[in-house]
Amino acid sequence: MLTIQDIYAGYDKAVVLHGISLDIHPNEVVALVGPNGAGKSTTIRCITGEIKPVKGDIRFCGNSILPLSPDKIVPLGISCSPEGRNIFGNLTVFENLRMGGFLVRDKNVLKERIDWIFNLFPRLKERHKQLAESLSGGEQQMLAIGRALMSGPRLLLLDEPSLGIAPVIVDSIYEKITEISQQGTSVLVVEQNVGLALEIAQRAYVMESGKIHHSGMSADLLNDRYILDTYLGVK
Amino acid sequence: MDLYLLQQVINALSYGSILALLAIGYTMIYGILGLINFAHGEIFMIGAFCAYLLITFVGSPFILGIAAAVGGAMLIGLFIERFIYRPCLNRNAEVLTVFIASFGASLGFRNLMTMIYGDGRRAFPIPPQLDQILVTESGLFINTKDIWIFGVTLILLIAVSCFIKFSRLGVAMRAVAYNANAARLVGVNSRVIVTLAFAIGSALAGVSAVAYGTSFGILNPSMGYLAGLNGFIAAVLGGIGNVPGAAIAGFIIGLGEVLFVGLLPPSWSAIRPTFVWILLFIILFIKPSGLFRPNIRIE
Ligand SMILES: Nc1ncnc2c1ncn2[C@@H]1O[C@H](COP(=O)(O)OP(=O)(O)OP(=O)(O)O)[C@@H](O)[C@H]1O
Ligand SMILES: [Mg+2]
Repeated sequence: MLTIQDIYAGYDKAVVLHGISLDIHPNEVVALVGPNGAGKSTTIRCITGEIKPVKGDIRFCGNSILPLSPDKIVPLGISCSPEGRNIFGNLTVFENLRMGGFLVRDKNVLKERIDWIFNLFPRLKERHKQLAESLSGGEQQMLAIGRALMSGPRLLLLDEPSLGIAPVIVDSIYEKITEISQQGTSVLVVEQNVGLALEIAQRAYVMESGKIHHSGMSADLLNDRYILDTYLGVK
Repeated sequence: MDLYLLQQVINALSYGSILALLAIGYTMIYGILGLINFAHGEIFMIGAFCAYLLITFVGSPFILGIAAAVGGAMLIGLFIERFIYRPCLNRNAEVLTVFIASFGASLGFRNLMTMIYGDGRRAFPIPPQLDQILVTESGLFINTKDIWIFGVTLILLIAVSCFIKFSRLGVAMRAVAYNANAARLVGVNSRVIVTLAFAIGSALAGVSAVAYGTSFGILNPSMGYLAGLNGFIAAVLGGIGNVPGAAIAGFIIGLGEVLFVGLLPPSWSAIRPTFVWILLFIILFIKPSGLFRPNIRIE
Protein backbone atom coordinates (compact mmCIF):
# COMPACT_ATOMS: atom_id res chain seq x y z
CA MET A 1 0.00 0.00 0.00
CA LEU A 2 2.79 2.42 0.98
CA THR A 3 6.17 1.97 -0.63
CA ILE A 4 9.16 4.07 0.23
CA GLN A 5 11.89 3.63 -2.35
CA ASP A 6 15.41 4.55 -1.38
CA ILE A 7 14.76 8.06 -0.10
CA TYR A 8 17.38 10.58 0.90
CA ALA A 9 16.04 13.45 2.94
CA GLY A 10 17.00 15.92 5.61
CA TYR A 11 16.93 19.47 6.77
CA ASP A 12 18.58 22.66 5.56
CA LYS A 13 21.94 21.74 6.94
CA ALA A 14 22.25 18.00 6.60
CA VAL A 15 20.91 14.94 4.89
CA VAL A 16 19.54 12.72 7.64
CA LEU A 17 18.07 9.78 5.74
CA HIS A 18 20.50 7.86 3.57
CA GLY A 19 18.48 5.57 1.38
CA ILE A 20 15.48 4.36 3.34
CA SER A 21 13.21 1.75 1.77
CA LEU A 22 10.14 0.49 3.53
CA ASP A 23 6.83 -1.21 2.70
CA ILE A 24 3.50 -1.30 4.45
CA HIS A 25 0.78 -3.67 3.31
CA PRO A 26 -2.95 -3.37 3.89
CA ASN A 27 -4.15 -4.23 7.41
CA GLU A 28 -0.68 -4.45 8.78
CA VAL A 29 0.91 -2.98 11.89
CA VAL A 30 4.53 -2.14 11.18
CA ALA A 31 6.98 -0.83 13.75
CA LEU A 32 9.86 1.52 13.04
CA VAL A 33 12.35 1.43 15.87
CA GLY A 34 15.82 2.72 16.54
CA PRO A 35 17.83 4.98 18.84
CA ASN A 36 17.39 8.73 19.24
CA GLY A 37 18.33 10.69 16.19
CA ALA A 38 18.08 7.66 13.91
CA GLY A 39 15.71 9.51 11.59
CA LYS A 40 12.40 7.87 12.50
CA SER A 41 10.46 11.10 12.82
CA THR A 42 12.12 12.40 9.68
CA THR A 43 10.84 9.34 7.83
CA ILE A 44 7.33 10.02 9.12
CA ARG A 45 7.58 13.66 8.02
CA CYS A 46 8.53 12.48 4.53
CA ILE A 47 5.36 10.39 4.36
CA THR A 48 3.15 13.25 5.57
CA GLY A 49 4.76 15.56 3.02
CA GLU A 50 6.25 17.98 5.55
CA ILE A 51 9.72 17.16 4.23
CA LYS A 52 10.45 16.50 0.59
CA PRO A 53 13.12 13.87 -0.10
CA VAL A 54 15.94 15.00 -2.34
CA LYS A 55 16.12 11.55 -3.93
CA GLY A 56 13.93 8.46 -4.09
CA ASP A 57 10.18 8.06 -4.25
CA ILE A 58 7.21 7.49 -1.96
CA ARG A 59 4.20 5.75 -3.45
CA PHE A 60 0.80 5.31 -1.92
CA CYS A 61 -1.56 2.86 -3.62
CA GLY A 62 0.60 3.03 -6.72
CA ASN A 63 0.90 6.81 -7.08
CA SER A 64 3.80 8.98 -6.09
CA ILE A 65 2.89 11.38 -3.31
CA LEU A 66 6.10 13.38 -3.58
CA PRO A 67 4.55 16.34 -5.44
CA LEU A 68 1.74 16.71 -2.89
CA SER A 69 1.68 19.11 0.04
CA PRO A 70 0.60 17.72 3.45
CA ASP A 71 -2.99 18.94 3.12
CA LYS A 72 -3.28 17.09 -0.21
CA ILE A 73 -1.88 13.86 1.22
CA VAL A 74 -4.45 13.61 4.01
CA PRO A 75 -7.40 13.12 1.62
CA LEU A 76 -5.63 10.12 0.07
CA GLY A 77 -6.07 8.34 3.38
CA ILE A 78 -2.87 8.95 5.30
CA SER A 79 -3.03 10.62 8.66
CA CYS A 80 -0.56 11.20 11.41
CA SER A 81 -0.32 11.65 15.13
CA PRO A 82 2.95 13.57 15.14
CA GLU A 83 5.83 13.53 17.56
CA GLY A 84 5.05 15.90 20.42
CA ARG A 85 1.32 15.46 19.71
CA ASN A 86 0.70 18.98 18.39
CA ILE A 87 -2.90 19.11 19.46
CA PHE A 88 -4.74 22.42 19.17
CA GLY A 89 -4.51 23.67 22.74
CA ASN A 90 -6.87 26.59 22.11
CA LEU A 91 -9.67 24.32 20.91
CA THR A 92 -11.84 22.03 22.96
CA VAL A 93 -11.42 18.27 22.79
CA PHE A 94 -14.51 18.09 20.61
CA GLU A 95 -13.25 20.81 18.27
CA ASN A 96 -9.91 19.02 17.96
CA LEU A 97 -11.73 15.92 16.79
CA ARG A 98 -13.86 18.04 14.50
CA MET A 99 -10.65 19.37 12.96
CA GLY A 100 -9.34 15.85 12.52
CA GLY A 101 -12.39 15.29 10.36
CA PHE A 102 -11.95 18.59 8.53
CA LEU A 103 -12.19 16.91 5.14
CA VAL A 104 -15.20 14.78 6.08
CA ARG A 105 -18.23 16.60 4.73
CA ASP A 106 -20.89 14.06 5.68
CA LYS A 107 -22.34 15.06 9.06
CA ASN A 108 -23.48 11.52 9.82
CA VAL A 109 -20.07 10.00 9.12
CA LEU A 110 -18.54 12.68 11.29
CA LYS A 111 -20.86 11.92 14.14
CA GLU A 112 -20.30 8.17 13.84
CA ARG A 113 -16.55 8.61 13.96
CA ILE A 114 -16.67 10.89 16.98
CA ASP A 115 -18.84 8.37 18.77
CA TRP A 116 -16.44 5.61 17.79
CA ILE A 117 -13.47 7.57 19.15
CA PHE A 118 -15.34 8.40 22.36
CA ASN A 119 -15.92 4.68 22.60
CA LEU A 120 -12.23 3.93 22.13
CA PHE A 121 -11.19 6.61 24.59
CA PRO A 122 -13.99 7.27 27.08
CA ARG A 123 -11.69 9.78 28.81
CA LEU A 124 -12.06 12.07 25.81
CA LYS A 125 -15.82 11.86 26.02
CA GLU A 126 -15.81 12.93 29.66
CA ARG A 127 -13.65 15.91 28.76
CA HIS A 128 -15.07 16.81 25.38
CA LYS A 129 -15.87 20.41 26.34
CA GLN A 130 -12.54 21.04 27.98
CA LEU A 131 -9.76 23.02 26.28
CA ALA A 132 -7.23 20.55 24.92
CA GLU A 133 -4.31 22.31 26.60
CA SER A 134 -5.81 21.49 29.98
CA LEU A 135 -5.61 17.73 29.33
CA SER A 136 -2.97 15.55 30.91
CA GLY A 137 -0.16 14.24 28.72
CA GLY A 138 -1.79 10.85 28.32
CA GLU A 139 -5.14 12.37 27.46
CA GLN A 140 -3.47 14.63 24.91
CA GLN A 141 -1.91 11.55 23.35
CA MET A 142 -5.32 9.90 23.12
CA LEU A 143 -6.65 13.08 21.55
CA ALA A 144 -3.83 13.18 19.00
CA ILE A 145 -4.57 9.58 18.00
CA GLY A 146 -8.29 10.24 17.96
CA ARG A 147 -7.83 13.32 15.83
CA ALA A 148 -5.71 11.33 13.36
CA LEU A 149 -8.44 8.69 13.17
CA MET A 150 -11.17 11.21 12.41
CA SER A 151 -10.24 11.43 8.74
CA GLY A 152 -10.89 7.69 8.41
CA PRO A 153 -7.35 6.90 7.27
CA ARG A 154 -6.24 3.80 5.44
CA LEU A 155 -2.78 4.36 6.87
CA LEU A 156 -2.24 5.72 10.36
CA LEU A 157 1.19 7.05 11.32
CA LEU A 158 1.94 7.19 15.03
CA ASP A 159 5.13 8.86 16.19
CA GLU A 160 5.93 7.70 19.72
CA PRO A 161 2.43 7.30 21.09
CA SER A 162 3.88 6.13 24.41
CA LEU A 163 6.18 9.07 25.03
CA GLY A 164 5.90 10.41 28.56
CA ILE A 165 2.92 8.29 29.48
CA ALA A 166 2.35 6.01 32.44
CA PRO A 167 2.77 2.28 31.63
CA VAL A 168 -0.87 1.46 32.40
CA ILE A 169 -2.10 4.03 29.91
CA VAL A 170 0.52 2.97 27.36
CA ASP A 171 -0.86 -0.56 27.57
CA SER A 172 -4.37 0.69 27.01
CA ILE A 173 -3.29 2.88 24.07
CA TYR A 174 -1.53 -0.10 22.49
CA GLU A 175 -4.61 -2.23 22.95
CA LYS A 176 -6.55 0.42 21.07
CA ILE A 177 -3.96 0.49 18.29
CA THR A 178 -4.42 -3.25 17.82
CA GLU A 179 -8.17 -2.74 17.82
CA ILE A 180 -7.90 0.00 15.21
CA SER A 181 -5.75 -2.15 12.93
CA GLN A 182 -8.21 -5.01 13.18
CA GLN A 183 -10.89 -2.68 11.92
CA GLY A 184 -8.98 -2.28 8.68
CA THR A 185 -6.44 0.52 9.11
CA SER A 186 -2.75 -0.06 8.48
CA VAL A 187 -0.52 1.40 11.14
CA LEU A 188 3.08 2.52 11.10
CA VAL A 189 4.21 3.04 14.66
CA VAL A 190 7.46 4.65 15.70
CA GLU A 191 8.66 3.60 19.11
CA GLN A 192 11.58 3.96 21.49
CA ASN A 193 10.14 1.11 23.47
CA VAL A 194 11.20 -1.70 21.16
CA GLY A 195 9.75 -4.51 23.22
CA LEU A 196 6.33 -2.92 23.21
CA ALA A 197 6.38 -2.14 19.50
CA LEU A 198 7.44 -5.64 18.52
CA GLU A 199 4.63 -7.04 20.61
CA ILE A 200 1.87 -5.42 18.56
CA ALA A 201 3.55 -5.15 15.15
CA GLN A 202 3.64 -8.00 12.68
CA ARG A 203 6.78 -6.63 11.08
CA ALA A 204 9.43 -4.16 12.10
CA TYR A 205 12.22 -2.07 10.65
CA VAL A 206 15.22 -1.24 12.78
CA MET A 207 16.77 2.06 11.89
CA GLU A 208 20.06 3.63 12.83
CA SER A 209 21.86 6.74 11.58
CA GLY A 210 19.47 7.24 8.70
CA LYS A 211 19.62 3.69 7.39
CA ILE A 212 17.52 0.57 7.83
CA HIS A 213 19.76 -1.93 9.56
CA HIS A 214 17.36 -4.83 9.98
CA SER A 215 13.88 -5.71 9.02
CA GLY A 216 11.68 -8.72 9.38
CA MET A 217 8.86 -10.37 11.26
CA SER A 218 8.62 -9.15 14.83
CA ALA A 219 8.81 -12.69 16.16
CA ASP A 220 12.10 -13.29 14.34
CA LEU A 221 13.56 -10.00 15.51
CA LEU A 222 12.58 -10.84 19.05
CA ASN A 223 14.59 -14.06 18.77
CA ASP A 224 17.59 -12.36 17.28
CA ARG A 225 20.32 -12.21 19.92
CA TYR A 226 22.06 -9.29 18.23
CA ILE A 227 18.92 -7.16 18.07
CA LEU A 228 18.03 -7.91 21.62
CA ASP A 229 21.49 -6.95 22.83
CA THR A 230 21.72 -3.78 20.81
CA TYR A 231 18.24 -2.37 21.04
CA LEU A 232 16.54 -3.94 23.96
CA GLY A 233 19.53 -3.85 26.26
CA VAL A 234 18.95 -7.47 27.20
CA LYS A 235 22.27 -8.93 28.28
CA MET B 1 -27.05 55.37 35.15
CA ASP B 2 -26.05 58.96 35.43
CA LEU B 3 -27.55 60.97 32.53
CA TYR B 4 -24.22 62.47 31.54
CA LEU B 5 -22.57 59.08 31.40
CA LEU B 6 -25.46 57.62 29.45
CA GLN B 7 -25.17 60.45 26.93
CA GLN B 8 -21.46 59.73 26.55
CA VAL B 9 -22.18 56.05 26.01
CA ILE B 10 -24.63 56.97 23.26
CA ASN B 11 -22.08 59.33 21.75
CA ALA B 12 -19.54 56.52 21.74
CA LEU B 13 -21.77 53.94 20.03
CA SER B 14 -20.73 54.83 16.50
CA TYR B 15 -17.09 55.35 17.26
CA GLY B 16 -16.93 52.11 19.22
CA SER B 17 -18.60 50.31 16.30
CA ILE B 18 -16.04 51.70 13.86
CA LEU B 19 -13.16 50.51 16.02
CA ALA B 20 -14.73 47.13 16.78
CA LEU B 21 -15.18 46.39 13.07
CA LEU B 22 -11.61 47.45 12.34
CA ALA B 23 -10.13 45.53 15.24
CA ILE B 24 -11.44 42.22 13.90
CA GLY B 25 -9.36 42.54 10.75
CA TYR B 26 -6.19 43.16 12.72
CA THR B 27 -6.83 40.38 15.18
CA MET B 28 -7.72 37.74 12.57
CA ILE B 29 -4.71 38.44 10.40
CA TYR B 30 -2.33 38.72 13.31
CA GLY B 31 -3.70 35.51 14.81
CA ILE B 32 -3.26 33.56 11.60
CA LEU B 33 -0.15 35.04 10.03
CA GLY B 34 1.54 36.58 13.05
CA LEU B 35 1.81 39.84 11.16
CA ILE B 36 0.43 43.29 11.85
CA ASN B 37 -1.31 44.41 8.71
CA PHE B 38 -0.47 48.10 8.85
CA ALA B 39 -2.23 48.59 5.54
CA HIS B 40 -5.56 47.69 7.17
CA GLY B 41 -6.24 51.39 7.78
CA GLU B 42 -5.75 52.01 4.05
CA ILE B 43 -8.09 49.15 3.14
CA PHE B 44 -10.61 51.00 5.31
CA MET B 45 -9.85 54.34 3.65
CA ILE B 46 -10.20 52.94 0.14
CA GLY B 47 -13.51 51.38 1.16
CA ALA B 48 -14.71 54.84 2.19
CA PHE B 49 -13.62 56.32 -1.13
CA CYS B 50 -15.41 53.61 -3.09
CA ALA B 51 -18.68 54.46 -1.34
CA TYR B 52 -18.08 58.20 -1.66
CA LEU B 53 -17.23 58.11 -5.37
CA LEU B 54 -20.18 55.93 -6.24
CA ILE B 55 -22.75 57.87 -4.23
CA THR B 56 -21.51 61.40 -4.89
CA PHE B 57 -20.41 61.16 -8.51
CA VAL B 58 -22.53 58.37 -9.91
CA GLY B 59 -25.52 59.17 -7.75
CA SER B 60 -26.03 55.59 -6.63
CA PRO B 61 -28.28 54.80 -3.71
CA PHE B 62 -26.61 54.59 -0.30
CA ILE B 63 -27.03 50.85 -0.08
CA LEU B 64 -24.98 50.40 -3.28
CA GLY B 65 -22.37 52.65 -1.72
CA ILE B 66 -22.11 50.23 1.19
CA ALA B 67 -21.71 47.34 -1.23
CA ALA B 68 -19.00 49.25 -3.08
CA ALA B 69 -17.14 49.97 0.16
CA VAL B 70 -17.25 46.31 1.16
CA GLY B 71 -16.32 45.10 -2.32
CA GLY B 72 -13.55 47.66 -2.79
CA ALA B 73 -12.05 46.99 0.63
CA MET B 74 -12.10 43.22 0.01
CA LEU B 75 -10.45 43.65 -3.37
CA ILE B 76 -7.66 45.79 -1.93
CA GLY B 77 -7.26 43.43 1.06
CA LEU B 78 -6.93 40.39 -1.17
CA PHE B 79 -4.59 42.28 -3.47
CA ILE B 80 -2.32 43.15 -0.56
CA GLU B 81 -2.38 39.57 0.67
CA ARG B 82 -1.61 38.13 -2.74
CA PHE B 83 1.04 40.54 -3.96
CA ILE B 84 2.67 41.87 -0.81
CA TYR B 85 2.42 39.38 2.04
CA ARG B 86 2.34 36.07 0.21
CA PRO B 87 5.61 36.67 -1.66
CA CYS B 88 7.26 37.62 1.65
CA LEU B 89 5.91 34.61 3.49
CA ASN B 90 6.69 32.21 0.63
CA ARG B 91 10.29 33.26 0.96
CA ASN B 92 10.21 32.78 4.73
CA ALA B 93 10.97 36.46 5.18
CA GLU B 94 12.11 37.77 8.55
CA VAL B 95 9.55 39.44 10.79
CA LEU B 96 11.21 42.79 10.20
CA THR B 97 10.97 42.39 6.42
CA VAL B 98 7.24 41.71 6.57
CA PHE B 99 6.85 44.60 8.99
CA ILE B 100 8.52 46.96 6.53
CA ALA B 101 6.52 45.57 3.60
CA SER B 102 3.34 46.16 5.58
CA PHE B 103 4.36 49.67 6.48
CA GLY B 104 5.31 50.33 2.87
CA ALA B 105 1.93 49.13 1.64
CA SER B 106 0.21 51.44 4.11
CA LEU B 107 2.23 54.48 3.07
CA GLY B 108 2.02 53.57 -0.59
CA PHE B 109 -1.76 53.38 -0.71
CA ARG B 110 -2.20 56.48 1.41
CA ASN B 111 0.14 58.53 -0.77
CA LEU B 112 -1.32 57.16 -3.96
CA MET B 113 -4.77 58.30 -2.89
CA THR B 114 -3.39 61.65 -1.75
CA MET B 115 -1.78 62.06 -5.14
CA ILE B 116 -5.08 61.42 -6.90
CA TYR B 117 -7.51 63.19 -4.57
CA GLY B 118 -5.39 65.52 -2.44
CA ASP B 119 -5.49 65.23 1.33
CA GLY B 120 -8.27 67.74 1.89
CA ARG B 121 -11.36 66.57 3.72
CA ARG B 122 -14.31 65.69 1.57
CA ALA B 123 -17.92 65.53 2.62
CA PHE B 124 -19.24 62.00 2.93
CA PRO B 125 -22.80 61.78 1.59
CA ILE B 126 -25.12 60.91 4.47
CA PRO B 127 -28.72 60.11 3.56
CA PRO B 128 -30.88 62.66 5.42
CA GLN B 129 -33.33 60.04 6.62
CA LEU B 130 -30.46 58.44 8.58
CA ASP B 131 -29.45 61.69 10.17
CA GLN B 132 -32.15 62.74 12.62
CA ILE B 133 -31.77 63.81 16.19
CA LEU B 134 -34.27 62.51 18.68
CA VAL B 135 -34.58 63.96 22.16
CA THR B 136 -35.91 61.67 24.86
CA GLU B 137 -38.10 62.81 27.75
CA SER B 138 -35.15 62.58 30.11
CA GLY B 139 -33.22 64.93 27.85
CA LEU B 140 -30.93 62.50 26.04
CA PHE B 141 -29.90 63.34 22.50
CA ILE B 142 -29.93 60.36 20.18
CA ASN B 143 -28.92 60.52 16.55
CA THR B 144 -30.66 57.90 14.46
CA LYS B 145 -27.51 57.22 12.44
CA ASP B 146 -25.70 56.13 15.61
CA ILE B 147 -28.46 53.64 16.30
CA TRP B 148 -28.25 52.32 12.75
CA ILE B 149 -24.49 52.00 12.88
CA PHE B 150 -24.56 50.28 16.24
CA GLY B 151 -27.35 47.93 15.20
CA VAL B 152 -25.71 46.85 11.95
CA THR B 153 -22.36 46.45 13.72
CA LEU B 154 -23.88 44.35 16.45
CA ILE B 155 -25.46 42.00 13.94
CA LEU B 156 -22.20 41.67 12.02
CA LEU B 157 -20.18 41.09 15.17
CA ILE B 158 -22.51 38.37 16.33
CA ALA B 159 -22.47 36.76 12.89
CA VAL B 160 -18.69 36.77 12.66
CA SER B 161 -18.30 35.51 16.23
CA CYS B 162 -20.69 32.64 15.54
CA PHE B 163 -18.85 31.84 12.34
CA ILE B 164 -15.54 31.66 14.21
CA LYS B 165 -17.02 29.70 17.06
CA PHE B 166 -19.19 27.17 15.29
CA SER B 167 -18.49 26.80 11.60
CA ARG B 168 -16.08 24.28 10.13
CA LEU B 169 -13.91 27.01 8.58
CA GLY B 170 -14.11 29.12 11.72
CA VAL B 171 -12.73 26.29 13.84
CA ALA B 172 -10.05 25.78 11.18
CA MET B 173 -9.12 29.46 11.44
CA ARG B 174 -8.53 29.10 15.15
CA ALA B 175 -6.60 25.88 14.58
CA VAL B 176 -4.32 27.53 11.99
CA ALA B 177 -3.74 30.43 14.38
CA TYR B 178 -2.60 28.00 17.04
CA ASN B 179 -0.50 25.67 14.92
CA ALA B 180 -0.48 25.99 11.16
CA ASN B 181 1.60 22.89 10.62
CA ALA B 182 -0.69 20.68 12.67
CA ALA B 183 -3.64 22.14 10.77
CA ARG B 184 -2.01 21.15 7.49
CA LEU B 185 -1.64 17.62 8.83
CA VAL B 186 -5.40 17.32 9.19
CA GLY B 187 -5.90 18.55 5.64
CA VAL B 188 -6.42 22.28 6.08
CA ASN B 189 -5.10 24.34 3.20
CA SER B 190 -3.74 27.27 5.17
CA ARG B 191 -3.70 29.48 2.08
CA VAL B 192 -7.48 29.27 1.88
CA ILE B 193 -7.71 30.21 5.55
CA VAL B 194 -5.40 33.19 5.09
CA THR B 195 -7.43 34.39 2.12
CA LEU B 196 -10.61 33.97 4.13
CA ALA B 197 -9.19 36.01 7.02
CA PHE B 198 -8.23 38.83 4.66
CA ALA B 199 -11.62 38.69 2.97
CA ILE B 200 -13.61 38.86 6.21
CA GLY B 201 -11.32 41.42 7.84
CA SER B 202 -11.39 43.68 4.79
CA ALA B 203 -15.14 43.39 4.30
CA LEU B 204 -15.66 44.52 7.89
CA ALA B 205 -13.20 47.37 7.32
CA GLY B 206 -15.42 48.42 4.40
CA VAL B 207 -18.49 48.50 6.64
CA SER B 208 -16.47 50.37 9.24
CA ALA B 209 -15.51 52.92 6.58
CA VAL B 210 -19.15 53.63 5.75
CA ALA B 211 -19.87 53.92 9.47
CA TYR B 212 -17.01 56.39 9.80
CA GLY B 213 -18.17 58.47 6.86
CA THR B 214 -21.74 58.46 8.11
CA SER B 215 -20.76 59.24 11.67
CA PHE B 216 -18.19 62.00 11.07
CA GLY B 217 -19.45 63.13 7.68
CA ILE B 218 -15.97 63.32 6.21
CA LEU B 219 -13.30 61.27 4.50
CA ASN B 220 -9.75 61.83 3.30
CA PRO B 221 -6.78 59.68 2.32
CA SER B 222 -5.18 59.78 5.77
CA MET B 223 -8.37 58.84 7.64
CA GLY B 224 -7.11 55.27 8.01
CA TYR B 225 -4.10 56.23 10.06
CA LEU B 226 -5.65 57.13 13.41
CA ALA B 227 -8.69 54.91 13.04
CA GLY B 228 -6.45 52.01 12.07
CA LEU B 229 -4.15 52.62 14.99
CA ASN B 230 -7.06 52.62 17.41
CA GLY B 231 -8.43 49.46 15.82
CA PHE B 232 -5.07 47.80 16.20
CA ILE B 233 -4.83 48.76 19.85
CA ALA B 234 -8.32 47.37 20.35
CA ALA B 235 -7.06 44.10 18.88
CA VAL B 236 -4.21 44.05 21.39
CA LEU B 237 -6.52 44.95 24.25
CA GLY B 238 -8.97 42.23 23.24
CA GLY B 239 -6.30 39.52 23.32
CA ILE B 240 -4.73 39.06 19.92
CA GLY B 241 -6.55 36.50 17.76
CA ASN B 242 -9.70 36.71 19.87
CA VAL B 243 -12.48 37.99 17.62
CA PRO B 244 -15.21 38.75 20.16
CA GLY B 245 -12.50 40.15 22.44
CA ALA B 246 -11.38 42.59 19.75
CA ALA B 247 -14.98 43.71 19.20
CA ILE B 248 -15.60 44.34 22.89
CA ALA B 249 -12.26 46.13 23.20
CA GLY B 250 -13.23 48.35 20.26
CA PHE B 251 -16.24 49.56 22.22
CA ILE B 252 -14.18 49.98 25.38
CA ILE B 253 -11.67 52.17 23.55
CA GLY B 254 -14.39 54.12 21.78
CA LEU B 255 -16.14 54.87 25.04
CA GLY B 256 -12.85 55.51 26.85
CA GLU B 257 -11.81 58.06 24.28
CA VAL B 258 -15.17 59.84 24.35
CA LEU B 259 -15.10 59.99 28.15
CA PHE B 260 -11.46 61.09 28.08
CA VAL B 261 -12.24 64.15 25.96
CA GLY B 262 -15.50 64.67 27.82
CA LEU B 263 -13.63 65.05 31.08
CA LEU B 264 -11.03 67.44 29.73
CA PRO B 265 -11.62 71.16 29.21
CA PRO B 266 -12.69 71.82 25.58
CA SER B 267 -9.44 73.58 24.72
CA TRP B 268 -7.64 70.29 25.38
CA SER B 269 -9.60 68.29 22.86
CA ALA B 270 -6.64 68.25 20.46
CA ILE B 271 -4.93 65.69 22.68
CA ARG B 272 -7.75 63.20 22.07
CA PRO B 273 -5.51 60.88 20.00
CA THR B 274 -3.10 60.43 22.90
CA PHE B 275 -5.74 58.48 24.77
CA VAL B 276 -5.02 55.20 22.97
CA TRP B 277 -1.31 55.61 23.49
CA ILE B 278 -1.80 56.00 27.21
CA LEU B 279 -4.10 53.01 27.11
CA LEU B 280 -1.62 50.94 25.09
CA PHE B 281 1.07 51.81 27.57
CA ILE B 282 -1.11 50.68 30.45
CA ILE B 283 -2.06 47.43 28.70
CA LEU B 284 1.54 46.56 27.90
CA PHE B 285 2.49 47.41 31.43
CA ILE B 286 -0.23 45.58 33.32
CA LYS B 287 -1.56 42.85 31.05
CA PRO B 288 0.31 42.48 27.77
CA SER B 289 -1.85 39.53 26.73
CA GLY B 290 -4.95 41.72 26.72
CA LEU B 291 -8.25 41.52 28.58
CA PHE B 292 -9.42 38.30 26.98
CA ARG B 293 -7.75 35.07 26.10
CA PRO B 294 -5.42 35.41 23.09
CA ASN B 295 -6.01 32.88 20.36
CA ILE B 296 -2.49 32.28 19.24
CA ARG B 297 0.08 29.71 20.15
CA ILE B 298 1.82 30.67 23.34
CA GLU B 299 5.31 29.21 23.05
N1 LIG C 1 13.91 20.41 12.41
C1 LIG C 1 15.15 19.90 12.28
N2 LIG C 1 16.13 20.67 11.74
C2 LIG C 1 17.38 20.18 11.60
N3 LIG C 1 17.76 18.93 11.94
C3 LIG C 1 16.82 18.12 12.47
C4 LIG C 1 15.48 18.56 12.67
N4 LIG C 1 14.76 17.56 13.21
C5 LIG C 1 15.63 16.55 13.34
N5 LIG C 1 16.86 16.87 12.90
C6 LIG C 1 18.04 16.00 12.89
O1 LIG C 1 17.74 14.85 12.13
C7 LIG C 1 18.23 13.70 12.76
C8 LIG C 1 17.12 12.68 12.88
O2 LIG C 1 16.10 13.24 13.67
P1 LIG C 1 14.71 12.51 13.92
O3 LIG C 1 13.86 13.45 14.66
O4 LIG C 1 14.22 11.99 12.63
O5 LIG C 1 15.16 11.31 14.85
P2 LIG C 1 14.27 10.26 15.61
O6 LIG C 1 14.72 8.93 15.15
O7 LIG C 1 12.85 10.57 15.48
O8 LIG C 1 14.76 10.48 17.10
P3 LIG C 1 13.92 10.44 18.46
O9 LIG C 1 13.82 9.02 18.82
O10 LIG C 1 14.78 11.17 19.42
O11 LIG C 1 12.61 11.10 18.21
C9 LIG C 1 18.81 14.12 14.08
O12 LIG C 1 20.21 14.09 13.98
C10 LIG C 1 18.34 15.53 14.28
O13 LIG C 1 19.35 16.30 14.85
MG1 LIG D 1 11.39 11.19 16.75
